[in-house]
Amino acid sequence: MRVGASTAREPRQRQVHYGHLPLGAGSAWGRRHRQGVWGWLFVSPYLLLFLGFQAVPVGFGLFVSLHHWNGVVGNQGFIGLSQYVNLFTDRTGNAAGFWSAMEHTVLFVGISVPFLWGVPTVLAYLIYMVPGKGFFRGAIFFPTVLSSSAISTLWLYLLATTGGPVNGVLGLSIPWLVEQPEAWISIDAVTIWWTMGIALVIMYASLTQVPTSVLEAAAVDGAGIVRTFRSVVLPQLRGGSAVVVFVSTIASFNLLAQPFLMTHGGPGTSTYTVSEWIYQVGFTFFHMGQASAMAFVLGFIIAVVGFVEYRLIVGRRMG
Amino acid sequence: MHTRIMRSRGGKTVLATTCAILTACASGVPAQATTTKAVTITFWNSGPSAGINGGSSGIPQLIKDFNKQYQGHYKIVYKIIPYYDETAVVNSALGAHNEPDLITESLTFGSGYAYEGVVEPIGPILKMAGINPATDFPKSLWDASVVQGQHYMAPTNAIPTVLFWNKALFKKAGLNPDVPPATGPQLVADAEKITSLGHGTWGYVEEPTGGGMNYSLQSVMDQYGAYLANAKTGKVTFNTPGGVAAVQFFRNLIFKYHVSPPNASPEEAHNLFVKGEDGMEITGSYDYPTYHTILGNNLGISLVPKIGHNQQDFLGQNYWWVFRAPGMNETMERGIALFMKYYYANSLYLARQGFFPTWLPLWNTRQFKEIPTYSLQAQAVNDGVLHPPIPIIAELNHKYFFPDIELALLGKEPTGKAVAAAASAMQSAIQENFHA
Repeated sequence: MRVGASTAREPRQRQVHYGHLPLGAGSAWGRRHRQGVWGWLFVSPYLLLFLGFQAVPVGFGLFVSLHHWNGVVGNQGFIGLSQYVNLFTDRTGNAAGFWSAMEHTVLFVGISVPFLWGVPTVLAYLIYMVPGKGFFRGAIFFPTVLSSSAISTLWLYLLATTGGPVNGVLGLSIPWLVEQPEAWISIDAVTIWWTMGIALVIMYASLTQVPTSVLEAAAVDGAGIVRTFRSVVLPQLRGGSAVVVFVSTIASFNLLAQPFLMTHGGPGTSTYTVSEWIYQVGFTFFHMGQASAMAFVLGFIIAVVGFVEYRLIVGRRMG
Repeated sequence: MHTRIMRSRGGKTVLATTCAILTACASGVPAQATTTKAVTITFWNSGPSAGINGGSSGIPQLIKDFNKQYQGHYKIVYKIIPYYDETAVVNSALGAHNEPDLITESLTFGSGYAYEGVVEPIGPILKMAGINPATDFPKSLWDASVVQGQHYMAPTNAIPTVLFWNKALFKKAGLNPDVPPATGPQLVADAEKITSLGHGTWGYVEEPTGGGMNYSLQSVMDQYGAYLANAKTGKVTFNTPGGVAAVQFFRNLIFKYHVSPPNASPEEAHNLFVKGEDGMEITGSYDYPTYHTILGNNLGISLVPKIGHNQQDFLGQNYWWVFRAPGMNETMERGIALFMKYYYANSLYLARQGFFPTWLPLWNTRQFKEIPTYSLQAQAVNDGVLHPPIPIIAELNHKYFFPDIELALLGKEPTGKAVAAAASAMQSAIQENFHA
């Protein structure tokens, strides 16, 4: 007999009671109907929040992007896809600013995401191997609880060219925030320091799921710490890595506060990001329709990049 | 009236004046206001005048007093909005038709509302309050705030640009600590002597990036007559030999005279000045309380040296704006007028809280002159030049003007080329976004 198969003595279906409604009672249609009602009731709190704060705003954003929408006086007429078309055909003004800011943002994503995955992964492995795990996890996670304005202001002070503590310790006058590539290095380093706590937690949790027997087998086979990490541990962390890379990509594309507060977009416009540009076009220039179109294009790009990343890391089988 | 206003002799004088004015205006309180339900006026404010460190002094206290005095007639509902996010907050409210009745905001942010037709002309409201703008407000603030031939705003407070200097460093460098530089060459000479002290001391610190040159560079450009733009035509007007000379002056401080450190990062001038490692700084007068607390009697404050052709300085400010909010009617406008008058009548109280007043009748009083630096600031306000009332020109400055100027001050672009590029970028932005 198959394990788990029903026997003649067992009831074919147990009656499950939720409150006063016996879900298993009555006709099949009635049971399904009641189950459906209860199901909707259980998901309704989330559904309402999802509709109110995600689906409706996104739908409204799409609606706005198809209109000439002034942020102050509202809708000024339907213009179809022209704002999307302009974004890809106009090489001047706000459209050009969007793509210029996009270039800077893609540069940041390209630099930051590998580090935002690599550094926490290596650290998680090292912490996993040594005593004092709780201390190290707490210490590395701590900056994550700080606000973006707090960390930006802190590092603005620490990285000052003249009189800044970092240059003071180094005995140098490195223009961390006012020259390139120093400005991007600073923004990347601060972002990694600030946000890697979450990635560390995810990668550490993934590490704990690696069977001990596998690590022991590697040790028996004479694999050192580096070889074990590369050939045994990393392949086992694919799921966690996919999450970290995917989330880091989204967060990096939405970079705003660090350059806004630390470099003010400079030197020149070299650290101007696409999120700040969209904010400016919408809230400062009042072109809410154009800004919404930019936001949807950005969202589409993030979705494509995220999908490709996920497929590359996890592979079609797991995906 | 709250005790803090009542306590001072000046406060009592102002109070008596206020009462007399308000009594005279009693007939202006409409019949509706005598009913038990008070007319509510929503008032949003941002920036340093909103409330001191989130406390209840300053404007919050003034509103509390006003509401007490007009209990049952008018009630001001006050909301402090974040300074760095004010545009988003106000624009969102406007988009949702949930805007306040009254707001204080700078000229360049607010002028966009005038162009969009969502604010009321201010003239009739000032008339209701018995305010004559031609004689009650500084000319520099009133005359320059015309949008499309109409006044939509009345000034609430001003932030002139001044020169701060460290008297201790002047003395150490063998300079007279009580005599600040009055011209460009004098500033350079003094800065060279202070820089020669060594040990990380600089004569003057100019920040090339982050908009740190906002007050200093704008002031010197104004002195050269290189004003940002013409509000009537929407044409950018700073791409002139004067505009280039203004930028070149600051570039020379860094690369020719070596009195300012190269590559100074944002906030560095401020930080080095309070640490006593920077001899001079040209910036907004809003830094006076901080600098005075730290440097005490070693702090000097004077007019911006005459570097260009005229004695002028850039003038930061805030104005009242009255929105055409749903429900705005004559009764509410009378309430707003009463509140404005009350605000101006209590200018001395606010002045003592650190908000430089724009109420001219106060300027000639002894109490006003007794407040440290205010006589000098009054002179700077009279010399002051505003940005043209083109919507959010200050933001355009940060996005289109400063990036190219930064490259000049970092030594990466020739000054003339940078100024021309900045002018071209600004012109495109104005044309695309405002069709001025």
